[in-house]
Amino acid sequence: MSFLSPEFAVFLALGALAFHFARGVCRRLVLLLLSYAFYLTWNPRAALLLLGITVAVYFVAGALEKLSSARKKLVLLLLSVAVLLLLLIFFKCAGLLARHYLTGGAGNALTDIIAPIGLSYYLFKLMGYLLDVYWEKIPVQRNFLSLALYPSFFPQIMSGPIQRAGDFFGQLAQLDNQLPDNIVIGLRRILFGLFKKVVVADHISGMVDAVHANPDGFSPLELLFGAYCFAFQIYADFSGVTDIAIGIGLLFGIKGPENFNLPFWARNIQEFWRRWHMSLTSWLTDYLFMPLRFSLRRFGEAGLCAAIFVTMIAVGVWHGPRMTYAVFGALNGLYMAVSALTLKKRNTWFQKRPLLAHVRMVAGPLLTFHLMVFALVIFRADTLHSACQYVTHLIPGLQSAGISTLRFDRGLLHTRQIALLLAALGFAAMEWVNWAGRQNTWTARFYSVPCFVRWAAYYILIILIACSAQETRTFIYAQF
Amino acid sequence: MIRLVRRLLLFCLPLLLVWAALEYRARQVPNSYSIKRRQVESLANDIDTLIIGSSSGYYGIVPKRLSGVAYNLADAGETLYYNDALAAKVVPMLPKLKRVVVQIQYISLYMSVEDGPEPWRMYYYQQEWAIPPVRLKDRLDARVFSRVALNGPAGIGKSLAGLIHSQPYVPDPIDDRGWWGPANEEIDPAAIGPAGAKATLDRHHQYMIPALEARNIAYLEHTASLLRDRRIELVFVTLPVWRTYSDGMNKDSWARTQTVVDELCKKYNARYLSYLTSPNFGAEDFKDADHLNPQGAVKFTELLDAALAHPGTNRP
Repeated sequence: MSFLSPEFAVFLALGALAFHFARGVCRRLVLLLLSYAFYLTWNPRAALLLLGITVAVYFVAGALEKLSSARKKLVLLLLSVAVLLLLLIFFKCAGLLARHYLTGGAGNALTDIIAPIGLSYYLFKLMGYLLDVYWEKIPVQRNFLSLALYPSFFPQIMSGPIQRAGDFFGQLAQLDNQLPDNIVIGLRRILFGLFKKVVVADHISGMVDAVHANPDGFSPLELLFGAYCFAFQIYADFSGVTDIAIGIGLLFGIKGPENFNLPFWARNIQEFWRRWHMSLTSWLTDYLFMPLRFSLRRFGEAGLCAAIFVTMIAVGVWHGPRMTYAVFGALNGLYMAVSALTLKKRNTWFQKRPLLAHVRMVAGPLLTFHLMVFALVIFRADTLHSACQYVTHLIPGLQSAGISTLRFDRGLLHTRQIALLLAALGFAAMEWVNWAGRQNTWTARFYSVPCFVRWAAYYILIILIACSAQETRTFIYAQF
Repeated sequence: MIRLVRRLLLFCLPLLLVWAALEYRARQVPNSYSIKRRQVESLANDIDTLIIGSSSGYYGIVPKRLSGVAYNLADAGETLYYNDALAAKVVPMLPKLKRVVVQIQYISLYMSVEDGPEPWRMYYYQQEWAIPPVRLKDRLDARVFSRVALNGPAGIGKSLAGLIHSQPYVPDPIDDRGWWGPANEEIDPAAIGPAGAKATLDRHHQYMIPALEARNIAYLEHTASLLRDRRIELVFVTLPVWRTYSDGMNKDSWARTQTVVDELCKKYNARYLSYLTSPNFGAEDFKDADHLNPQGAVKFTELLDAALAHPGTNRP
């Protein structure tokens, strides 16, 4: 059951009603039942796996608390984290192999069993929980119901965000103090998320699919346009599903962490990664980068670069066992290392040249955006070979098929003018709302306008979503 | 909280009204299922021969060229589950029914709508014929209940535009006996050539699932026993395909299908008329590698009518 399906809307409405009629521990029970019911609609066997892993983590966390020997604790922690990582690697690789060798590239029931949906998200949540318990950042969760709800919480299991255990359990304890305002905010987030996905991302997805399927057949201009479009598509798609997840969570009294903060306005690459997929990057910063940086501190800048590279490659391969993801991570590691090593010097240099500092305010985000567009071309390609093909064909004159550099054929790109216009206007509106939502004055203005004006805006969004809906589109990040 | 619920209901009310209006308008738009249902209901007291099957039968058998009053209930993508369910629904409605022609093709034993290329069809069977999807999860799908959800925004737009311009939206040219027969259809040589046939076979092989065999045989048995109990003659028919298609068929699968049908014929005293590689048909009789065109359909139906008239005819 997808977030985009009508039956999910019915499931959500009935679930929210059941949740609000329940009280105390029953609310948590309702949430757990809803979460497992949602997961079962994807794959019953995967639900058993999730339950099994949760039970194991419950006992491991209990043992971590009881053990008195620091050495034994460490061994148990390393062992359990290693098992979770191996599970992740095993299922990801087995899924890939089955897809490649058994089904000739197409997915089927077998590959679904081998690569359970949401695995990367819930394993990272549980690993974080064990590390937090070991570092005594949070107490052990003795209530199995609460622990079982943490990895399985249905708004977040498909595409995140990766919420920290302490934050989740804290909010779980306050479930009975649900505010009606949260429900309204949640519904608004869901609507906005659907708009991003259906009106913006899906209108350009056909074009992105077309250029990546056959880079040979497109002009450099069309490929450049496709590269920009993929950056906008993945942002609208992923931030859309995050909005929906946060919105649904709010209906059930749980506020998930934000995943995006206007990433395409970032002034440098470090800032970009503090604004993009924030729940994953902050997780990796806390549980991988910081420990690595600490243990490599005696190597100075070389240690810093090594920690950055390992972390960024982990960001890449978290998406799956593909060379393109690893190269995407390594490329971002290179960007980050260069940026981190030169940042102080650049700041000093620009401080002495105030006029150029103004240029930097515009050039910084533009350069960062284009570096990410380039990296995302590699991320989107199925193989390194097709990524190389795409990149070389971007350069005018290297197109072997003799296609003119400035050709722009909408028919070949599987897109219509109205769809492009809608996506462009939708993207501009989306970024404006993202920006305005962070400004208190604009939020106050929005709440001060008459109710019918706000409702008219919501109806327009609903009509645009209904008229743009396509049956077969799924969220990009649901596959990870 | 009560104030919030009231406001939510008030907000949703216009949306629900618009939805209801769209749902009503969408259900007025005819489709091949609704057209055939209405035609069968209006001809119920006259029909003596009923044809069920998939696209090959839908395109390839012209009821008006058969003796008596025949009706072609076959439809594109129809599998044995729906053949059987439709027979169970329709046969009791037809007091004069003497014969049922069940079309069997290469893929019959190995296909299901839900795992096939056009799963949306199962929701039309539910909405028009009250035949539920096989899987429980499909029975809970919104498209079981809502035509708006089934058509999607594009379909609704098209349908409404058709209604506004007072032009009924008819997806297929269906005559009053359920046959698909466009007046002038251009012949596309590529469709029956080796590449066209290979593309069709590749698509068919992609959706043929050996594990479905037992289930599909059970549906055939159920149809056969229903007809035997009502003393209605059962005739299995395989329509011709062009040689580019038959050459690429998996011989074992086809042999297995024929064995199954022969066994059913013995068990239920039925007949099997297979014209798969009949030499009577040339390239000019096909619309593509596995479907007859209108000219071929007329030629085939005349052969079939002659064979049906002779009770002893089996495997011509």
